[in-house]
Amino acid sequence: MNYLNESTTLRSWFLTTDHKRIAILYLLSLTFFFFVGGMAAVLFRLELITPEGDLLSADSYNKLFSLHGIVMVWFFLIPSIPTVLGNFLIPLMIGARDLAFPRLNLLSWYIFMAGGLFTLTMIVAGGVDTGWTFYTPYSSTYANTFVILAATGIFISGFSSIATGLNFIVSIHVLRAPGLTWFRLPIFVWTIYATSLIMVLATPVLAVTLALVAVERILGVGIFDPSIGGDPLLFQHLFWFYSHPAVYIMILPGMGVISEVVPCFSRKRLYGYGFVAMATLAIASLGFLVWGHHMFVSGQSMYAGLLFSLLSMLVAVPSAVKVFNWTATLYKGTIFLKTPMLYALGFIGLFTFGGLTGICLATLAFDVHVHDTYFIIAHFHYIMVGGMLMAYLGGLHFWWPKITGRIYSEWWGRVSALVVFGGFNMTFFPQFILGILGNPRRYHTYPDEFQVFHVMSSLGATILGIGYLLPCCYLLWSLKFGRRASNDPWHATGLEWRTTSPPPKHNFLSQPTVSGPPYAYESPHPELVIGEGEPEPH
Amino acid sequence: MANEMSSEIAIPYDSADQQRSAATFGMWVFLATEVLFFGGLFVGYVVYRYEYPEAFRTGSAELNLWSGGAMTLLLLLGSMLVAVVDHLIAPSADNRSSLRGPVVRRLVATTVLGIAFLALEFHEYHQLIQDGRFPGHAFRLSDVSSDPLDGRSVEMFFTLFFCMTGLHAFHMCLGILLVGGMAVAIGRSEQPRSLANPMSVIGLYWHFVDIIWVFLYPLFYLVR
Repeated sequence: MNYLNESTTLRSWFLTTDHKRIAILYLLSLTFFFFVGGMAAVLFRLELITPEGDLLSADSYNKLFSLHGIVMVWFFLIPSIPTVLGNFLIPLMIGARDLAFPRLNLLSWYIFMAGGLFTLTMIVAGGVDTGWTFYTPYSSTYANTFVILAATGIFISGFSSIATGLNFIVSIHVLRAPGLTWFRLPIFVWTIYATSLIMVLATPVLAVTLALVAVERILGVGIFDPSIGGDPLLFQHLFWFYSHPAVYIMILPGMGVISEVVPCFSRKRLYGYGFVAMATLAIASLGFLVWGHHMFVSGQSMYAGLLFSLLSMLVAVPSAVKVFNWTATLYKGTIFLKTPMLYALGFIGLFTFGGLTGICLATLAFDVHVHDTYFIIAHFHYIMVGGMLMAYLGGLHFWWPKITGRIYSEWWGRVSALVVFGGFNMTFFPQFILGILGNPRRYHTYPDEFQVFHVMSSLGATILGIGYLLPCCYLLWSLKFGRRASNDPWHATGLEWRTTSPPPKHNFLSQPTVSGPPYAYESPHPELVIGEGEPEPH
Repeated sequence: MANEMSSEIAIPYDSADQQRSAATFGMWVFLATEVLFFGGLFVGYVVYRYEYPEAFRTGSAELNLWSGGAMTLLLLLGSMLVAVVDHLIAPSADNRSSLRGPVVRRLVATTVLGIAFLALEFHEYHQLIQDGRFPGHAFRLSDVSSDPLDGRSVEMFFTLFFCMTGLHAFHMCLGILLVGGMAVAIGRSEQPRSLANPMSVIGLYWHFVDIIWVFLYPLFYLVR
């Protein structure tokens, strides 16, 4: 008996309070939203193959990139690792039977789906053309699209984020197993903790800001409309006070996954554990102080710009600490290039590249030059897709045997990691060049001389799309035909590997205890084989 | 006894203490969220008060100072009663035989005070709406200033007033339901002390909603 087969009715799934089942519900819903957002990208990348606007009108192009941004940010990236891997793993990693508030956890999924329903209604009704940033006064006064529906969807899903974050914070404080002190926690738990702090403290500001946009549209008052006394910059300040920290909601859990995968497949202790843990908190707190770097050309005070520039560069310090520590963990390790490790190595490279271009953008003069060009698009896709999505897929592959009890095809896994890495670079690297050359974002036409880069990018996007479809196939295949996984197929440390795969309903048959530091990897036996699965019984 | 205890402890917990500290801590985290939720509106208030000090004075003078003062008193009194209940019902308090009566009376009184607060607030809303002070198309710009842009800044005061006090009133409604529900639950319970946990969590929420009003009252009523 395990959590998957202890009861199989629909009711037992939709009314479950088991954190593992809720993680599965989230996994399915997020995969759906990922493909909705992905389809929008497919359509506008097709449009961008030619310089003229031949496939889409300007209006539908605007609606598609807005849809892509809204769905990908709020209905995929922000919930992705926390609600799927976090929900599944946090109680297991801290040795608890469930999260602190199991019913609140289920409620958060229903709230999320309600928000998603509003968003889907918005799409079917005709979409929204404000971009995912909803800048005023365009969104509050001029846009003739379904802004209120879109804002309501995001407003509602925000409460799901808050509920999830609150649940993690309380669980990590209160439910740790005997002997599991703060500095024995896996880094994944630290990163989810830091992410939860941001979710709880930043999300309400976004909620109230979008509510004000809705009030302005409904009543026709000028909260953010300068022609009747409002201040559009106030909107930008409030919006980015959430939406910059939200970037760290998206990337920190990814860093957590990498910190689990790299030591396991290097068979070495994580280098500089304390620094990695503290760098996590440093990123989360500094992340609250840098929102003004989105507003360098908005007319905010020059001194504010200078300060925000300096603080933005400071975030690079703890981020670099992490990259160096992962690299130092690899040094002289016994490296196994399994699927999760390939994704993790891809993450380190792409995240570093995205981070370094981020420092370029934090530089005032350079930012003015490339503001609102494809350089920005390329930069944040290197972090969000090259970073977060690689980590999400890497994590899914790493814990797949624990979640499902099955081993997927290693060969196909490696192929998918390489295809995603190649396709990703081909899609987004040309966009850096486009940005430097001055191609502005959010236009459906462009001058002829940019075509070669746009064609490369669209071709890369096709490869990337195939890279995302592959795991859907072989992971589903493994559910039925994969070899059975042992309790600890990777010979990894951590409490989640001490229970069966898949785990029983309440995670552990007896309360686990912890007596030493995490990542207690030792130099492996030369014939060590990992990730093979159990031999078939017949 | 052991059976009775284990039936009260929900699934992820090992002990009643652990469960209590999780509930209390969870409420504090939620209140931190709430502070930031109202915080966005307070930032808006600061920006526009700095921009339009005169308009805020004009707007504030139209609010009913005495009614606002009375509302403040009602809430503070209610908070005191909730604090007393929290003290009475705490597991560490003396074991009194007739706990239920005093606790329920105070909770009912708190609920009534909360409803009275809302009644006064809605009366004030009603007056303002009749005077054409509700922001939007119904707002009578010419009443407050001959210059339309100045009129708009008075309208901004009332937009913030209705948004912030309205959000507070929404929280009050939830609070009244929670405290009222608690009065019913304790009134029916064989062992009122077993409800000490939810009571202290609801108490925290109630105090928080009061504290928000303690800031709203001077910011809107006393800046004339």
